[in-house]
Order: sequence, then C-alpha cells, then structure tokens
Amino acid sequence: MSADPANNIHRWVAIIVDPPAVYVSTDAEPRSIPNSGVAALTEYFRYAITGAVANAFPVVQSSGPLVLRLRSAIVGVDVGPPQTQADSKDGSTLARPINIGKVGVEMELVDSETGQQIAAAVDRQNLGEGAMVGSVSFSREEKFRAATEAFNGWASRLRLFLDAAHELSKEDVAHVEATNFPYANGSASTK
Amino acid sequence: MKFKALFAILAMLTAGGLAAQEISTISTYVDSDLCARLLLGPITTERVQCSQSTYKDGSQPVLVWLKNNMVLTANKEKMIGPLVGQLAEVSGKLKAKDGTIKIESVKPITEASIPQGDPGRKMLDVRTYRTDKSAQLHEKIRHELAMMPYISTFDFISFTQSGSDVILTGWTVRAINRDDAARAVRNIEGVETVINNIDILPLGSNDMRIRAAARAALQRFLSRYFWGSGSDIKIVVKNGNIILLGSVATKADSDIAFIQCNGIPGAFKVFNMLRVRNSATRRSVCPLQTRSLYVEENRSQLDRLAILLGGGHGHLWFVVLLASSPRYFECQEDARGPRVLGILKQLCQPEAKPGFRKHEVICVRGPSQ
Repeated sequence: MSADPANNIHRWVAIIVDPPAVYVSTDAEPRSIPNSGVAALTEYFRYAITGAVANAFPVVQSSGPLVLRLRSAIVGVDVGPPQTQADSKDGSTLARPINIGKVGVEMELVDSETGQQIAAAVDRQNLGEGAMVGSVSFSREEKFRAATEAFNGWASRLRLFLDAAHELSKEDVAHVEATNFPYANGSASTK
Repeated sequence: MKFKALFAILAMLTAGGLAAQEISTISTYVDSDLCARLLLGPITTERVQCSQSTYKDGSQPVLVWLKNNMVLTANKEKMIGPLVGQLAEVSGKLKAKDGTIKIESVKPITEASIPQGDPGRKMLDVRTYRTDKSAQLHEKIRHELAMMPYISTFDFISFTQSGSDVILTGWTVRAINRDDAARAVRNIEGVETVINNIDILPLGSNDMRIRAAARAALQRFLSRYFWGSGSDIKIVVKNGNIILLGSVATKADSDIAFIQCNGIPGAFKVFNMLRVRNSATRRSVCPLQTRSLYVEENRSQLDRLAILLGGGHGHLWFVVLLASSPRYFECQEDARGPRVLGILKQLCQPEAKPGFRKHEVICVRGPSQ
C-alpha cells in the first residue's frame, strides 16, 4: 500500500468500511455467478477487514470529519465447475462455486468528506485451484480455506500498513519525549 | 428426564447469574470524571476543589474506589452528584471489569469512619504517592506510554504511581491505546498491579465535528505546538465537552487555546487544563546524557546562570541536581545552545577541586557532544 506523504494518516481517527465491489473476470459470464455467492464473498471480506482494523481504527457507519473511507474491489472473480448436491452440508451451498484463484484486490483509503485519496494498494496473488467460494457460509467450509486465508491475509496487510504508517519517526520520538509530562501526583491545576 | 436436566441447567445458570450480581458495599470518593481521570493523586483540598468546580461546570460525577483508585461510572448520577468532593459508602452491583456500578444506596461518610489499616484508607494517605524512591520506574513507565504509536492529538494518557502499583488514566478514541498501555506497563519490571482507568471516548458525529474544528482552530493560531503525528496540546472531546490538556509555553497561548475552543459551534463547555511550562513544575525528565560535574560552592554563580538562561523556552534543558532540590535551566535550541554549554563548562569542572562540590548534570535534550 502506498500513501501520499502530504496526507498524514495520523489526521484521521475512524474508518468506514464500504462493501467491496466485485468485478468478474473478463472471460467469465457475469450471469453465471450467483448473487448469493457474491454477497457472501463481500460480506466475508468486509468482516475480515473490520476485524483486522477495528481496535486501531474504530469502524463507524457515517461519514464526517476525521473519518476515512475504505473502498475495496475484488477483481477477476470467475465461476467454477458445477457442484454436486452431495457436497452440500447445508442448504446454502451454491450450484456453481465462485473461483477466486486468480483474483486481485484493490483498496483505497479516502477522506470520507472530501473523497481525497490518502492511500491506495493493488494486490494480486495466485491463490491456485483450491481458492473457491462454494457456499454462502463459506468461512466454515474446510474446503475453501485458501479463500478465507487469502481474505484474512489481505485484511492483515491493510492493518500492517496502518501500523507502519503510525510508527513514530525519529522526530516524533524527540517531540514526545520532550513533551510527555504526565499530570501525575497532584500536579494539575484547574481554571 | 429431559425436563429435569433442563431445570438443573436453568437453576445453575440462575445461581451463577445471581452470584455475579452480588451487592457490594465499597468506600468511595465522589469525584468528577475530569478530575478522576486526571487523577490528581491523594484527596487534598486542591483535588476536592477540582472535583467540585469541574462537576459544577458539567463534568459527569463518578466514583473512585478508595481501595484501588478504580474509576467507576455510576448509573444514577443524580444520587451521587450532591456528594461530589466527599467520601461515600456505596452499595450496588459492581462490575469491576467494566468499571461500572449499579447503585442501590449511597451514604456520605467521614474519613474517621474508615478503620485504620483498611485498604480503603490508601488513597487518603499522601505518602502513598511518593515516587522519590522509584524515580527510575516512573521514568520507565512514562517512556513506555510516550512511545505508543496510536496516540493522537485526541488521546491523553497519563499515570499515577503508588509504590509498585500503577494507575493508568486518561481518555482515548481507540481501544488499542487502552489495551496497549496496560500491556506495556504490566511488562515493566517492578510494576505489580495496573489499574486501568483509561476511558474510551464515544465517536459520535457531533464529537467528531468538535474534534476536527478544535484541531483546525488551534493549528491556525498555535501551529508551533503541532507536529507530524502529534501535538503538545491534547484535545479530549466527550459528549460535547472539550478538555484541553498538555502544555504550552505561555499563559497567553493557554488563553488563546481556550478562546478558540470556546467559539466552536456545538461545544458545551471547555475545560482548560493546559499547563503553562514553567521550570518549577517540571517533574519528569528524560536524560540523554548524564555527567558528574563539580560545581563551585558559591551558589550565586548558578543563580547567575539561571538568570542568563531565564525567559527562554524551547528544547534544550539542563537539570542540575543540587543537594537539596533539582534546578532546571532551559534555553532555546538556537545560537544560545553553545553559549549555555560554554557557561556550564566555565562553572563546572570535570575534576574535583577545592571549593567545588560534585553534582549530577543532566542534559535533557541538548547538542550531541
């Protein structure tokens, strides 16, 4: 992820996680990709991101000052071979699984009020044949572990970026060391 | 058979639930949220005044558990409001983990009614808060808290040391700061217990607007107190009230900050807790270099040095630890830096000589030599 140095990420304190957009692969037939599967895919990705960042960047619902907006897109989703009913463990199994073996993820952090871009990332990795989403509750399916791991991985990379952006620079250390005098032991005064 | 098992489980759950909601009776000090989070230490006249004046100005009343200094948010604020600044015995359902209490009854008590040796008396004893024997530990805690990466202009975290117990206080907009502070301090050698009184602030849209407006206003007029990732001035916003914390160089800057924040639409009240930097109030230092030097017995020379350096404020401080009390000298980090070093060299000799006494000279943040 790369950030615009002019836009110091310290200036924002909360985040809105938008539902990710899903773009199908150029050679796939969009109509053959089940809507319920796409919804499950976006929900899981959103859940993974929220879980990864929430304690450092509280997730809020409405835009406003000091609030970042995370826009993301899952690009290159394809449709897999038809599943037999025997694979089903519950009624939520998709007729055709979603293949995310060759997807990429694009993420963008923007100011929620002005829309100004603060940071952006494009991440592509070949997840291989096993990376399928075959159920609307795919996170519980052992078979689709590669997909959940990929989503969790992208979310944790976003968190790593935020952590790295908040590391104190040499100048920051000098500043905080020089100014951090706690209001301890009866030293504060009121007006 | 099935019903019997079900009843047994229900009975166990009910018993467990009741046990968790037992009525506790505790000795407390009724404080304002602001003074309790700043934790001014023992209950002195100054603290009582702080509690009463800030409560009158709109700060929420809270209870401070005398046994361990834990701040407890009460459900019935009207019951405890009239007792702010006093000791009270409170009965209710206590949830220490969440820092809350559901009050059943409250009655004012006097200090004398708390028996000698009772842990509840701990907070009443000024001696509990002396840190002179553990200055190193105090500095370690301060350093750990200062190095936390997610502290922003809108977070304020402080602490009070009571022997090997540490009480963390303050406000933060991020849960990670509360957890990280407790973890960092708990891992310091010599710290036994950590009471975490750090309050996580609500992120309502009105508060967020006030935060942004306050930062913008202060940055416009007092930009020198803001740097890349933080600031000397901390802006804590809770339920429409602004608390200004941190330190500024002059009284005029403190007044500017107060006036600017007072003009922010939607803000109910501004509590100006900014400290004006003053050499006498500096309590904590972070030495980069410590040297033993021999200072002439004649103190007037040191007083001359103080006069020479007086009036400046900035980033270069020298602390001369005299036998009786520390002396702080400061000057700006400009052309006067080398001059100060020159004066110190003139006054202080590196080796023992007749008429010179050994002192520790701490260059807090000075030139690299």
